[in-house]
Amino acid sequence: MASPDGNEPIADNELLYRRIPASAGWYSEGVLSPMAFRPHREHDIEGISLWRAKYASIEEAARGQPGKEYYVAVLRAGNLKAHGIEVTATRERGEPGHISVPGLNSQNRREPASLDLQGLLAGRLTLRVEGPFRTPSPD
Amino acid sequence: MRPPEYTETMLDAVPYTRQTGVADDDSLALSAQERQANRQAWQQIIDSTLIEWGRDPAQLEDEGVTAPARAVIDRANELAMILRDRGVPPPKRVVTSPDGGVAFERWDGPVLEQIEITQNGEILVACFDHSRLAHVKRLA
Repeated sequence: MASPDGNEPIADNELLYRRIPASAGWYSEGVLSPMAFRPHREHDIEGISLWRAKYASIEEAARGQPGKEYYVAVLRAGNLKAHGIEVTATRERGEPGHISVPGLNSQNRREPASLDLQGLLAGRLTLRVEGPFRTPSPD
Repeated sequence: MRPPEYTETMLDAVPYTRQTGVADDDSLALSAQERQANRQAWQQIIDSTLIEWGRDPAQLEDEGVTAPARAVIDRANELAMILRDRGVPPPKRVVTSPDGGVAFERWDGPVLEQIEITQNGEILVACFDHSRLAHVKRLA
């Protein structure tokens, strides 16, 4: 049973989700762009965000701005760790299940080592991409 | 500060612009067809994507994505026209970057090439081979 606080260590066999805005065009013809893992200069100071599948359904992980569509990239924690990519359980908005990838952050987002990880995550470590899922608009 | 103009040296560093020679009439004919197809594909990107984006950049704002400024889209448009006129292969897609940039992406087998116009108007060229960064070049 999942711990209620979400701070327990991330097991190698855990599936992780990365939300991908469909509007950005980062997924087409079965090819995921490394941009899907590029940190934002303001929002990803502590690292890009992932979600633990044990705490969120894929539809919940896909929930973004109302009325917009999102894909979800599915990854396995052990594969990231095997490539030296650290994943840290962090709470966001008080909700358990949020993960940060400190090695991919605002400061290093265009450095060669960061670009390399972005390519690796998009091209090799993403198990599959699901969606798009539309976030419902408020009534 | 206005970004520098695209120069021949800069453009020669863009992988798309590598040209191949032609050996005989058949390959010349094929090359002409390919160049025409390439030109049309670039034009489609300019007409259907970049001009549309330029009309309303705010449509590209999304979670974790800053919409590119109109000046960045204009610069992407300018680069697209130059590459179109040089007859180089078109990208398979044009995307936004999280930071308000625009990027052209094309792939062939395990190789993915990315030409990004950053929010500052600089060009960043990255090439991934089997999902690993093979080279990256920042063109001022």
